[in-house]
Amino acid sequence: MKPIIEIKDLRFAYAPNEILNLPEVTVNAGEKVFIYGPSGSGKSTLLEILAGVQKPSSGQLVVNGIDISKASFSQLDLFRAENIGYIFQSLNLLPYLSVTENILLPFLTGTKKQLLDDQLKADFNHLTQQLGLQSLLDRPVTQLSVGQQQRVAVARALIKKPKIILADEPTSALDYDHRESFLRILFELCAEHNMTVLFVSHDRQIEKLFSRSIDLKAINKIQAPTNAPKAGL
Amino acid sequence: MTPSRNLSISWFLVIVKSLLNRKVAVVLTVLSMTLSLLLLMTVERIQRAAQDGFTQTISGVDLIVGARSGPLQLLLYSVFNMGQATQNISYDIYQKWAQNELIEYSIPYSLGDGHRGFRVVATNNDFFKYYKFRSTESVQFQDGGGFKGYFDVVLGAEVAKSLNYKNGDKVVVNHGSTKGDSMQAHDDKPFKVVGVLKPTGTPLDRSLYISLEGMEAIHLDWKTGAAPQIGQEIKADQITTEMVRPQSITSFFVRAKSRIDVLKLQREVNESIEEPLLAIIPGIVLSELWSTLSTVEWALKTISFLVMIVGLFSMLIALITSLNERRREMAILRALGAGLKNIAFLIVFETVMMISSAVVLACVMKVILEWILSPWLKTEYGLFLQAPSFGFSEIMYMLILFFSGLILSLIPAYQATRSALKDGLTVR
Repeated sequence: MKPIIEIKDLRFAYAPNEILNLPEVTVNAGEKVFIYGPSGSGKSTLLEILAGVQKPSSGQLVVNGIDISKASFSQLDLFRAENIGYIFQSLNLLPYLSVTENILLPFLTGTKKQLLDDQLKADFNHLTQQLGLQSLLDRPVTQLSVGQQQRVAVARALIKKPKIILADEPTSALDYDHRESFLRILFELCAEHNMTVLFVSHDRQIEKLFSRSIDLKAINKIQAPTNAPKAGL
Repeated sequence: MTPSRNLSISWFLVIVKSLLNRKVAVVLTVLSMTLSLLLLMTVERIQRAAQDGFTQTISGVDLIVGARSGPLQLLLYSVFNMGQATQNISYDIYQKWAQNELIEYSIPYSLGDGHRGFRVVATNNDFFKYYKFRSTESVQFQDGGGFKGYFDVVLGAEVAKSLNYKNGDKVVVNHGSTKGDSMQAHDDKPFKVVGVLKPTGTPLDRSLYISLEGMEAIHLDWKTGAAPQIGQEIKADQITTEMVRPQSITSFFVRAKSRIDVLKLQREVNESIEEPLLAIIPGIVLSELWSTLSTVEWALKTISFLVMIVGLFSMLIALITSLNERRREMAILRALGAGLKNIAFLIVFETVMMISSAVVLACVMKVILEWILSPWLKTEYGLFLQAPSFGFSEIMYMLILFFSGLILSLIPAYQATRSALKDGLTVR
């Protein structure tokens, strides 16, 4: 198995507070990893570092063969555009764009090569069909249900076929049945291109659907303060 | 079967749709900038029209001579049809000065009557021969020619056009009013149109020209300043040359043979003892007028600039207040790989779109306003919007608005990058 994410002695601090200290984590290509931990354990921060939005304070982080712990912010932006598909917990979409336009947003950034028309059309049709979005494509996104919005977010995260999908509790607004079907279709589509999925959540009900799960609290050497955790971490 | 759709996306589309999403705020912001630019350009335009109007209406005249009054008053009533002459000067005096050896030519002017809102100028054929406007242009006929009989009238282009008169038509002159209609008309002695002048774009277009003898003739029987009693009228065919010899005129324009003699001539006129005369040099009086008006002009411009600043600040406020609501939007774009540069560009480009719309809208409104208001400005204020609509100043104002807006937009752009950096992907 080829590792796609290698973390070594990764540390991250917000001014005086150290939030992450991960001695070693390795994720192989194609794995579906469930990362759980309570609020304030640093889940979101870890995702932001993996996405190249935050830079680690020290340590090594190699993603897809690129050492991003030493990259500049503009290199990180390009890295993110090319390698990462990101799904938010909710409100993934720009409300003033149509479903189609929202799905195509990733093509605004990174190298423009990927806009090969026929290939894109095929990918687009395939994704929207699989996700059941075909009848919604021209609707304003504000008319979609939460479940439909999250499926549009999946289509957007996958349209450029990135190596890694980072998901920040995208199912938390869905009920259990929908969560399962949502994850099943996400995994199916990711498997088509051997994408790696990193999914953070505090909800362990869905853990069993993943190939592997990581308890962030167990591997993070910094323990979240018992009182007043930093909001949202 | 999947529908074939156009799969395309661009920053431009995103920015336009984002702006449209905030329609009300954006439209109000654009309007406030539009109006501020429009105000500035309007003030500029009117000021230029006024200045051009004054400086172009009369050229080549070294002195204007009239009865003793204020220099400005003399200039305004004799050239620009503003205000009233308080006194006349006798025709004999005029003739004496007209033959002065220092004088190249002179043009007599006798004012006081009007015709349907236009003033009537009594003069002689020297007017058509010598009168100059806009530096060197002479008065020209588009139809007919100068006076041949006592009751001939020549029309300014505007008069002929708006009243739809042509050669051969009869015109009745009204008594005592150079603007609007008068109660009393010289309807017993109508004039015949013998010529129409070419348009000049100056107040000249808005006058009717009759001979001094014609002016004398229509007032022959008006001994008390009012229409004659029944039975005392003098019929047009009873008039003789002797009867209509001009008695007095309002003022006369003088061109000296040499510029050097102008001051000497002016002094001689002002010191003449037969009759109290006043000779003015129009250029000097005009520049005195400008320096008086320059304070007003300065105040108007300052206010206009302040309004523009207010317009720019309203844009700044709209942009800054929108930023907080748009943190989610920025986080989404960041997650897709948009860098801080993209975020800053987004804000700056949004501003560029708003200012550009404001500039275009202001230009369109300006053209429409000028089109609607120019007849009214012409009739009410004698302002001719002649010069090109967009001159150096207008372009400068547009550039000033554009670049100050651009520079101001760097503030929200910077703020947006700051908050995007702070927020990362989690908007709290």
